[in-house]
Amino acid sequence: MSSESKVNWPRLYTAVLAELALLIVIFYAFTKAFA
Amino acid sequence: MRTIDWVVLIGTLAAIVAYGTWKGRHKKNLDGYLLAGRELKWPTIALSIMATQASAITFLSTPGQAYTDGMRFVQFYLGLPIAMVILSITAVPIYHRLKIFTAYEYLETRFGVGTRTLTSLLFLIQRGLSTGITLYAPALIVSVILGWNIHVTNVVVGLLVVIYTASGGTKAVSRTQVHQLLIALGGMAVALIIAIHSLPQDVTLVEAFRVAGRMGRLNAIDFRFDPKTQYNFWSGLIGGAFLALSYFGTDQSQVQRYLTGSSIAESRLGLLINGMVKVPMQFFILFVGAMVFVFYQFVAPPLFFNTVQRAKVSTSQYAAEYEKLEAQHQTQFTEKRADVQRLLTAMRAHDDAATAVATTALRNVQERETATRTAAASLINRTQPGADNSDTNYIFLTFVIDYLPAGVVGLVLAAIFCAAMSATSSGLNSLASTTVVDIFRRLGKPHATDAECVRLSKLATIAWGLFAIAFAEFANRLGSLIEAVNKLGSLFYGTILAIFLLAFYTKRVSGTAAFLGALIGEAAVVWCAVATDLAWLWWNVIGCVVGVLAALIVQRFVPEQDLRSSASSADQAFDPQMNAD
Repeated sequence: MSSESKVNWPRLYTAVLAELALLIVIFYAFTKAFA
Repeated sequence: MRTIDWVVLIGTLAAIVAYGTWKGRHKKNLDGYLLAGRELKWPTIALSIMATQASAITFLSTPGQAYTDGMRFVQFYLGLPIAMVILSITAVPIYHRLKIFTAYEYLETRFGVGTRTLTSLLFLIQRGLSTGITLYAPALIVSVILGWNIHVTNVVVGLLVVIYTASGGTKAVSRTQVHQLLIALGGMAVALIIAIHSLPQDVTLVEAFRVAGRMGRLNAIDFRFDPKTQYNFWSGLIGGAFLALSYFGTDQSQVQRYLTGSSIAESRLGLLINGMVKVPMQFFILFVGAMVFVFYQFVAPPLFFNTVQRAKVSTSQYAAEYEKLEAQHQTQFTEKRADVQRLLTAMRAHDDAATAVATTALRNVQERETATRTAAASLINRTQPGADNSDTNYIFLTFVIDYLPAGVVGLVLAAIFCAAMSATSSGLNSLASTTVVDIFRRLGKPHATDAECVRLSKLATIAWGLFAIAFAEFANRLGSLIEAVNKLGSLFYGTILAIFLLAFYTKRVSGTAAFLGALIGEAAVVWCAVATDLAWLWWNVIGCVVGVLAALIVQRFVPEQDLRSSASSADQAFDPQMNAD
């Protein structure tokens, strides 16, 4: 991953935002599960 | 502190300083000194970005925050990944293609020297003070818990940072940050393992989670919208995104980290990896605090964690009253421990009714315990009006010193000082860059040679280091230090972000309009801070939105000539020929 041409940027941006969405779901489940 | 702790602590810090100084040698030109020759790869950039943001305050104050207020502080970081994506798409290519040293240099190509200078000065004020707090925080806490002399600690840590930052420049800062962050996270991981291991043997990890959760300490997400609540999902996602956009996109201490990338791709990857790792990392640090909280459900905690304030009140006219509160606290702890046992027994028996009863009883005694702690804090305030009556910052280190084994105490202290040094070094490094590039070379001596600028950068690093040490000597009464740093930043970040957004996304706003818009935006933020009780994360949104709207309105009254010259500068900045990578 050292040059721009090898990285699919839209896919990487989507991965970052998807991870955020997943973390929010996990944190919410975590909050609810132990409340 | 035992001998082995001293060996680990001194050995780690000496190794970091020596490594930084060695790594940063041979930097003769300004590009090499301020931007590490623009040759760093994304792993170094990502860790450097994370280490810049994660100061000692992060590792000391955040677990305490979880202990007193639960894990909802993690929501503060939810906007960060969004900001990383936006910056990767917009700011990174522009900064890279213009081959600039500082973010503020870009503003001149768009709005002229006035806006560049205003923004640079706002940065210098804000970052100069923040760097002082970054240095002060661990010195204060360590001085209270371990009885070290706060002045000596400030000066020693400050000078250690100055040595390698001044001599090695940005390369030394970035390379050492990689190791500093890994040591800091390693120290926290060891503390977490020991906290969990120190729980009573019959208490499983899931049971520990349940106790923490039922006592409101695993409240990571709260979707309720309340503009006066500091940390909820909405303030974190929206206010946090604005704060992160401004901090990572316009604060030179961060911009300088990714300007060191050897290409746009390396810088982008550094930011995006930060976006992916930061939220789980903060969750992990808060989780350490939640587990320390569970530990103190089985082992009696002190009524007030700040030992210095405790000693003062114990020898004051309020000593008898404080002793009474201590006795009350001890009774409440005994009651609480019994309730925790009842809760565990009910949960193990899968008895929902008994679990509900035990939970209610536990929450009730917890409320009374909190009231006792509040009464103790107010007593401390009466003993010394204006004294710091928050003990959030002392909780984690008290646990470390009292319950961690020999050697591990030294490791955790090394972790905390490594974090302090990494954040301070980035601060000093960026302050020196802005002083030399945006003030000295732009306004004082435009034809200064590279050698002169490098020499002056080293002197500026030393001068800002001394300023930070001096400010650290005077910093006091700041409550939760992590909040203090972010609140201070939030006073300016919204306005600075407004200027950059106007620069990035508008072609027809002139320098005059942007300048006046920024002043109006800053006035709105100050008004919010002084005259309203709006949660501080929203100041970032207010400063940005008011700044942008005010500039757009002022623009309608700006002479056409000013507008044309501004648009021409913008065209140059976005010129695809000029911007070819």
